[in-house]
Amino acid sequence: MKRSLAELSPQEVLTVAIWIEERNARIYENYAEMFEWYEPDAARAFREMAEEEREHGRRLAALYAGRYGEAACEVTDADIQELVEVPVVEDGEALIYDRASRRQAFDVGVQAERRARAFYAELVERTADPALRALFDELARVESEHEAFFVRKLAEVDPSENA
Amino acid sequence: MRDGLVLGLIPETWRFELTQFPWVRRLLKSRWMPLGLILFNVFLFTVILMAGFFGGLTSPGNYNFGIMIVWILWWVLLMTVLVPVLSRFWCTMCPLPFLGEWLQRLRLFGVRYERGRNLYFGLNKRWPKSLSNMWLMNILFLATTFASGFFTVRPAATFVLLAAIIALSVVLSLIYRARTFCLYVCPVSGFQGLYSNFALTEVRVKDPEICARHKTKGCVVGNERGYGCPWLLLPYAFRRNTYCGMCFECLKTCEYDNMAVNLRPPGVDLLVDEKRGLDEAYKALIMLGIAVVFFVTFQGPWGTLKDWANAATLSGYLAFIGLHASWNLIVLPAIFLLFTWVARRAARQAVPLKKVYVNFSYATVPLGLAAWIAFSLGIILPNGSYLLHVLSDPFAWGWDLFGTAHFPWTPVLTGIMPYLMILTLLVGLLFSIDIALKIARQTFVEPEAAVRGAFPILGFLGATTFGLMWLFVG
Repeated sequence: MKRSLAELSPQEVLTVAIWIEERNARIYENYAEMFEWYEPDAARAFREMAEEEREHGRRLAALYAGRYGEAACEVTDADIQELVEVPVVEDGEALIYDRASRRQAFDVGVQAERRARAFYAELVERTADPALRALFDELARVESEHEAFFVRKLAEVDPSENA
Repeated sequence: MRDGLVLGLIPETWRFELTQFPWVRRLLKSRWMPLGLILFNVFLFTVILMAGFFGGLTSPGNYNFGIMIVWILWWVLLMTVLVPVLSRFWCTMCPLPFLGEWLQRLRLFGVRYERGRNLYFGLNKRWPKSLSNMWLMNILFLATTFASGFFTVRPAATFVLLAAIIALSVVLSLIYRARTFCLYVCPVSGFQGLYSNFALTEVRVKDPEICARHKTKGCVVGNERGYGCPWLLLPYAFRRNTYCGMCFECLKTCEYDNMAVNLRPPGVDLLVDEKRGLDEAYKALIMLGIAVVFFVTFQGPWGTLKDWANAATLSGYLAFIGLHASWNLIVLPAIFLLFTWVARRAARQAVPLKKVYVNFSYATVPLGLAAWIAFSLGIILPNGSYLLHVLSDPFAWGWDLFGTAHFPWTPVLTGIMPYLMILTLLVGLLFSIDIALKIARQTFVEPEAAVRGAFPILGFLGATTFGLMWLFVG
């Protein structure tokens, strides 16, 4: 039975956060495959974001190791009710109208990180448990850094590129 | 009309899933669907092409299998049943791209899937961005109608048209990826796409959350069960029928059985406020305009126009083309522009005129479809009995395969045909009014502004309806 993220222990929350980064990396890889033949620039952007998500996962894993050592935790992102930080290409006709671009790819990442930051920030407000609040606050800060990274990548894209 | 309810009666969100029935789901997941239907139509179109070839330039149209099946039976079924009820179900079983797709896949049955991806033969190029819209289809369909006077009386004309389409689809399939021909070139595809937004049937994802968590999106990239969407859609995300060819590949590829075929209220996709464009606006107006031209020319009392369309004289034919093109590309769009300009002024909202124009063009779709249905009644009711003849004697060689070769001409319900046409137009008007009022709320937002802005559009719709009635019944 799925539980809300707010009902998990700090150890479980951190485990789920690591799974989310790994899941997102695979989703970005899949988007890269979807756009590979069509818009190689967009595919390359998705691969860059996949690598960045793996780096996010490694940092969170280091954070977990620092707090909980080798202790195992079985919960995954599939065990929670909420959809956190899911990158979604929402334009179902993107390929038909030839609107897949590097800019749009990074925008997908920015939106996902932004949603994640807002989600964790909201959990900070709603959670009474001090340890959990502190962790959600830390994750919100981490997602803020992730968002800033994708925003920088978005800014690097040629502004004249037609979205 | 109350928001959220179609005609104030049916919730816009109402859906009845047809694929909840195991036999339906099994049928649609089978590789024989739609291959079985396509192969039948390949056979049928082979006979049509032969009839067109052997019929030549002189065989009477009403006794030619090709003309009767394509321009009487198929066209009427397309407009009256297939599109309004089953969306793009004709595209499901269309034989025209069959050869091209067969060459792309190098396999008739089954899926070419190796090393983690579907395999395709051909150059797999990307269609030019500037043509990634409906404009080319608008022009090609309009151009096709220039020769309508020939298609219904000269079997060779139908042969040339169909052969050209098949040849073009093969060439494009070898150069470009997937159903590029169907998406951007096929003359029939454009109006099917736009009008399917009114249809009672859709293919959609069942639970978006499942797709959001899904890491591999087999519906897009394909897998061993099927091909990635040949219509270049992202099946987990599309929100309107326009470009869904109902090939059911996504039902086959989805690893979570998360795609469904639903019944739904009519017209709901016309309210999807995204991807609206001037190309689709022109498609809506062109279809309405051509319905007027066709009725005036082929069912109206003005024999001179019919002679012009049949190229009795070159000057007459050029006049027909000129009037036809001008009406559809300039005059009717300009009339509609006037009404939308008045609507914008009446609403007193700072909405770009182009947005007002494009948005409200979608409100003409139900009326346009109704006009074509009414026109189709004028075809099938007087002439449907000829189908029985051509079924028994497809090549006019004196055969009598089913004993109906000498079936006499028998008009059906022609006494009440005008009333059926009127009723059809009024139903179309009703839906158009409903859509127009809702689009007014989308466009102008503020309720009183929306009401003010809607009135000129309702005026256009009403005037068009009564104009069509006058044409149809005198």
